[in-house]
Amino acid sequence: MQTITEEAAAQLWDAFRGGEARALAALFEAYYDALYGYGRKLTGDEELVKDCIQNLFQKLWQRRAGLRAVQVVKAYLFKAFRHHLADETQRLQQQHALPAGPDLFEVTYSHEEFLIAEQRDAEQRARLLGALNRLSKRQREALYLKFFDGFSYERIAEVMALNTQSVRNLVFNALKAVRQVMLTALVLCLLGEG
Amino acid sequence: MAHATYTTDDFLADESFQAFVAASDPAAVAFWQAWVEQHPAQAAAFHEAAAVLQLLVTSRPAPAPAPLKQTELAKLWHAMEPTGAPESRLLLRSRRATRSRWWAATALIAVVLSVVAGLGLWPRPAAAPTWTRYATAAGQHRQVGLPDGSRVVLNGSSELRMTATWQPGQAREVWLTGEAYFDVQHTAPAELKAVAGAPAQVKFTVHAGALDVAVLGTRFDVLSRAGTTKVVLNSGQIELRRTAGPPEPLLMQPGDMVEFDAAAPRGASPSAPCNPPSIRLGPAGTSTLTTRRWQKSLPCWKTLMGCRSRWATPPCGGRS
Repeated sequence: MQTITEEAAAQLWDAFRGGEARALAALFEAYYDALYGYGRKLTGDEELVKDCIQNLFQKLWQRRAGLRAVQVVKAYLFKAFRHHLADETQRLQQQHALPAGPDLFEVTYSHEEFLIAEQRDAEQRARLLGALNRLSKRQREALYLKFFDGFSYERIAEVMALNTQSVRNLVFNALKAVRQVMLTALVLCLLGEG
Repeated sequence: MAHATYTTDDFLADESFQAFVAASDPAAVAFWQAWVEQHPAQAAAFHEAAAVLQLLVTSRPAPAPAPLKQTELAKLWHAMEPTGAPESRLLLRSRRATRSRWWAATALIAVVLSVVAGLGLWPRPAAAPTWTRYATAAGQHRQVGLPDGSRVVLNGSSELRMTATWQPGQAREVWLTGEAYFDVQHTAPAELKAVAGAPAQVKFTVHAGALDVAVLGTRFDVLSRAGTTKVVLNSGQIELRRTAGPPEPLLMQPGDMVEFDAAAPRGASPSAPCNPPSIRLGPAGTSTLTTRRWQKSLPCWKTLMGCRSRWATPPCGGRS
């Protein structure tokens, strides 16, 4: 799905800042799926995700002259997209007088994402989903960025506007919870055999 | 090394270890494979941590639906189009209240885009298009505003092509078949008036048939059909080159007309730069590139924008 290296993305970013429309289109193609997947995790509103990605890229194009070089393009796009999505969500909440929580986004894991792990039995998969969905919203988001998008702690911190240590803790605690599921499964397995 | 005292949790939190399980970093894979062989005492914790991470790294979100991605990419291309219709720019709407209108607009845009794409008038998004194309049918005229502020009036059955984006400080280039009148914006510093020797980034070049017509900022007409290319200069200066000819340019002055026939017998190519008021280039009788004074026609050219109906005929009557 993602076949673009960080170096290639950085080159495209510079070319796009220089006015090459084709470079921005290439970045759009390279990261659309990842942004879309992330957006769909953050909000259930498919239309809003679609519009925010479109709007993000159009704004980048309009403001290309004032943009600076970035270290990791994907992280920059995720951060800008998250910010944009948060603004829009907040605006819509105010507009429709919906209660605005302290955490805007609700990341939930669904069965489909774990279908690839077919070798694992249904029971264990259900337990894993349960454990993941019992995590805090931020833990879930950090875990998503870590394992679905392969971001480092540092980049997750950039995307979520947190410090690196907080991200490390979020991911670590989430992983401990997942490990607990594994241990439970192991115990149940041993009991079953005994 | 600190790794020697790692517990399962330490392995879990280690980014290099995560990269090893995800197989996303060959160096990490090589390192941890070698490491576990050398540290059998840690093998149990190592494998447990790997099994936990394995649960997560095998998960991948589904990609966005391909048709959606294509539609959205086409929208982006449209927005990046320099002379793109501004009304199709997307704004985040106030949802719910405008949902049905939004759907109608989206459907309309999709239909328009697919029709335009079908006609070949639209750069194909998948092929990363870099060309903008303006074309006219027979008897049709079209005024085109270029990104640098220059204006072009396309005569009937003509086509103008250019790269989709122009950036300041970049050489301006267009490709013409058919006939067009150019009113080119002067982007060079005011004191720079001679096109000869001017840097490429301030030039505006029309590639027409076998001629390259370079200017700084002037008004002129180019006709390029069936092997013949004709250039008439209204004001300012033109630097003319044959695409496959000697590097020496021909410098045109206001009122000059140059006609080049690629099918004419190939005599000696134009040799020396022709300075006004020199009229002809190349040995007599075999000239493939000729210059004529065209002073009489100037008033006509001045009113060109207002006499479009006469535009389809060869400019301003017969030849000298």
